Amino acid sequence: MTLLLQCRDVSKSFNGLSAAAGISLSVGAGEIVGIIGANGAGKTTLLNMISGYIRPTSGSILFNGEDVTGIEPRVLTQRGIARSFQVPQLFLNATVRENMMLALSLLVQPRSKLLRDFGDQGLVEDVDRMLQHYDIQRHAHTVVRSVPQGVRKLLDIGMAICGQPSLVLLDEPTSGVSSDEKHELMRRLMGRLRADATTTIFIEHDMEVVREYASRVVALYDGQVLADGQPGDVFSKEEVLRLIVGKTENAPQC
Amino acid sequence: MVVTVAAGLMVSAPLFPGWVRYVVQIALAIGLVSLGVMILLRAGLLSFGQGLYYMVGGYSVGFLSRHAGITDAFAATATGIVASAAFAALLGLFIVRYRSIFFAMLTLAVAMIVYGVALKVSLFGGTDGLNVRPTTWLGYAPRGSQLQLTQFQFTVLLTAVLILAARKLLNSRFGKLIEAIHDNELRLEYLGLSVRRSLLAIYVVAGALGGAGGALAAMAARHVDPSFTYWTTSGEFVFVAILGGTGSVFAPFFASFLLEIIRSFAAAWLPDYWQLLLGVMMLALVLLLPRGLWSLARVVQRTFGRTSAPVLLREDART
Repeated sequence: MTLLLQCRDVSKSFNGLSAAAGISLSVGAGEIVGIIGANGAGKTTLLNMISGYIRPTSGSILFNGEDVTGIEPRVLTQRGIARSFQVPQLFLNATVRENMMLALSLLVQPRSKLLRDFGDQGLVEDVDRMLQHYDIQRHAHTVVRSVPQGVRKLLDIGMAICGQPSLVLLDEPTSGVSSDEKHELMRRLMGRLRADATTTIFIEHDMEVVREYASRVVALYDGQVLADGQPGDVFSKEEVLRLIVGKTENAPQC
Repeated sequence: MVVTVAAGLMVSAPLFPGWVRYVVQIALAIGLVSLGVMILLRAGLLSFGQGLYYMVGGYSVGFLSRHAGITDAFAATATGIVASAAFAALLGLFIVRYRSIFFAMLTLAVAMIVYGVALKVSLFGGTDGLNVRPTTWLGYAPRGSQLQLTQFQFTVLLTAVLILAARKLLNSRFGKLIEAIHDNELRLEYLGLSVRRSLLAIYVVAGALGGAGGALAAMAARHVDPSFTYWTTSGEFVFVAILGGTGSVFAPFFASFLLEIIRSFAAAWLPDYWQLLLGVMMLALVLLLPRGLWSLARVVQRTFGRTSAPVLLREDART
């Protein structure tokens, strides 16, 4: 298995407060890695560093064998790292369809077509197919400001991964989605990612979801890797049960 | 529509009295600069210093006429546009790092510094400014009313071309991305777009439009002075852009015509109060039509227009 992503002893501290303390992690092509951990364990910080949003204080990140530490999200996006957000980052004043059209004009269509008419037919058709795939086409003409959270979540992920990236980072794909919609969302999403054999790293609080979809689980605690391996092995570790699973099950899901 | 109106104006030009043509020329020049302000507004940036490019455009014409003896309209406007675009590119490199009030204040500050310098440096002619020699067109050198008529036609033609280009830009994917910058910069970066470079690009476009307006105004008035970059001039462009709204490329022209008409009549009838009139207008607009006068056009369209398919674009500029 070829290594797609390597994090080597990556640390980040914010004004002396340590958010990640020497995380080492290698992800091979095609893996689907679930990251678990309590709030403040460093999950989002790790994703932020991999996607280039923040620069690690120390350590390095390699993507496809190249050092990409500290490269901006814009460049990494073009190189094939896609990322979705815990709080969907969308264009609130545009419609669902327009949001997807913007994503496609940047990630799928060539840059040379940026001066083409925004509403051109080919683009609209591609977008409608994607909205259909995520089953949100009935919201196509609604302004994002007024669509439900579940739709926003799907749209956010759909926009991030529309360009067939080689690495997908999902920050809590099911947060804010009702529990009965959660499994449907993951089934649809993971079906697509698996079909394309896209390497995926996702942060998730719902252990049931992690168990079902992750091929490998990484447990973070206090900025460090507590356990890393097959879901069965990780979930049977005593520290994981005590420090992460126990806590997240009692704590309100957010 | 642009082509019809432009052609109509150019053909019927001899029917209008000279002062009407002059008012239209100035309104178009101000409209062009304000169109630049409007494009920046779409990205959420308020430039309070577009007077700077108005001045660069104006002085390009002035300097060419005075120091190089070049009076050709094509050469002069091209120089004005290129010079202001170059200025905008240089200044934009650092100015597009800022947003909201910081952007507005920086643009204002730079324009005022240039004003201060221009007043002191004799090259710019001090408060008196420079006179501009009669314009020529590729060797054609009309005089008297024929000169003004040709100038009018040239102004209408150039403005029409620039309006069409601006509309093409705003209706493009890039044009839609500009609006998205206002909404969510983080998402755009994660879609692989350099927000800073995009803003620089439209800042240059706005600067070029400002330069075109300045060049046309200087040729029409046959005069240019440092007040082109004074803050009240810049404020007028902002006034026009907000009065018209960001709904369409025509909106700033609609507003600048209204402003020039009011200015012409109010100066005669209410010489001491006409600014009061502008204030009242602005107040009424902000309270009653916060999206600008152009939103009236939408209301009219919705009321009298035929029922059409769902509107694809929110603020679609195609009319």
